[in-house]
Amino acid sequence: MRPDELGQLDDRVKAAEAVLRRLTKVAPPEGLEERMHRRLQASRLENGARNGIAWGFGGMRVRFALAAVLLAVLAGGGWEAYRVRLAGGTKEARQVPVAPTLPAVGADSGFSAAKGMRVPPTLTPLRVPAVPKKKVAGKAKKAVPVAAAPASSPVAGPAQP
Amino acid sequence: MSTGTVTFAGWMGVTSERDQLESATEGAIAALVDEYAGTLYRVAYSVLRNAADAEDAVQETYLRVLKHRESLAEIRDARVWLVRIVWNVVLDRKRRTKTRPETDDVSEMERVLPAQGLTAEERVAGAQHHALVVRAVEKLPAKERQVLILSAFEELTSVEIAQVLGTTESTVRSRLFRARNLLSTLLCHERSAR
Repeated sequence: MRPDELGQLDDRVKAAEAVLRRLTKVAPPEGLEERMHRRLQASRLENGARNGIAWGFGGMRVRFALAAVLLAVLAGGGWEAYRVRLAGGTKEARQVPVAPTLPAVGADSGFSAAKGMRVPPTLTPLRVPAVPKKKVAGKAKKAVPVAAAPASSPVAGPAQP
Repeated sequence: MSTGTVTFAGWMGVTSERDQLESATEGAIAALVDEYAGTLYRVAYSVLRNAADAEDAVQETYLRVLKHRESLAEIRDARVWLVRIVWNVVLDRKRRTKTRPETDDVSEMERVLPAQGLTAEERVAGAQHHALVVRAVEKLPAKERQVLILSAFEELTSVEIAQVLGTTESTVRSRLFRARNLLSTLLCHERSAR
C-alpha cells in the first residue's frame, strides 16, 4: 500500500472517529435527572407496596418485632416438647394411672374359665350313705350290702342294686 | 429495670443507625443520578442511537444500582462502575432488538450534527456521511466495535475502557488497532462501491 493511500485511509478513519465522537457528545434530553429521580422514587414505593407493609417509616422495628415473636413461638414450642419428653422418666410420670392391659385374644381362642377352678374329686371324696337293711322274711339270709364304697376308692359311683 | 432500659435503648440506637444508613444510601444514589445521568445517556445513545431507548437504558441502570445498593459503599470509582452497568444493559437491549434497523435513520443522525452554520444540503450530506460511518462500524466484529465506540468517549482512558469491558489495557489497545484497520478497509470499500 502506497504512503498516500495510507494517509487517505488515516483521514477516513479520523473522519469516522470524529463522527463517533460527535455521537458521544449528543446532549441528553431536558429534565433527564428529574425523570430518573421520579422513577427511582416510584420504584421504591412500588417495592414497599409489594411487600404489603410500608417499610419506610420504622420498618426495621416492625421487622425486628415480627422476627422476635416468631422466634419466641418457635423456642417456646421446642421447649414444651422437650419438657414433656423429659417428664417421661420422673416420679411425676410414674404417678400417671396406667390403663389395664387386656389379655391377648388368640392364645386361648378368646374363651376363658371365668376364674373358675376345677377341684379334683380326690381331694373331697364322695361319701355315699349306707343303704338301709331290708328285712327279709324268715331271717333266712342275712342281708348283705351290695356295694359299699371303700373309703379309699377314688371314684365311687352310686350303689348298684 | 436498668438492663431492660439499656437493651431497649441499644435496640432503638441500632434501628436509627439503620435508618440513617438507608437515607444516606438514598442520598448517594440521588447524587449519582445528578452527576452521571448525562454521561450514561450518552454511552447508551452511542450504541442504541435512539433517544427513548437510551433513556430507558439509563433508568434500568439506576434501578440496578438501587437493587444492589448494599454494595455501594465498596465501589471505588462510581463513574466506571456505572458506565460498565449501562454498557451491559445496552448490549442486552441491542441483542434483544437485533432485528430493528437503527443505523438507517438519517433523521436521527441529523440530531448529532451541529445546530448552526450548515445549509440544508450540508445537513443532509453530513447526515448521510454519519449513516455511512455508522453502517461501517456496525460491520466490525463485536469486540473491535465495542472498543472503538468506547474510545470515542474522551473522558474514558484506555485503562477505564479495559475495566468497563473486563479485560486488560493491552488487549484494548490491540483491539483498537485492529478496529481502525478494519474500519479503514470497510470505508474504502464503501467509497469504491458508490
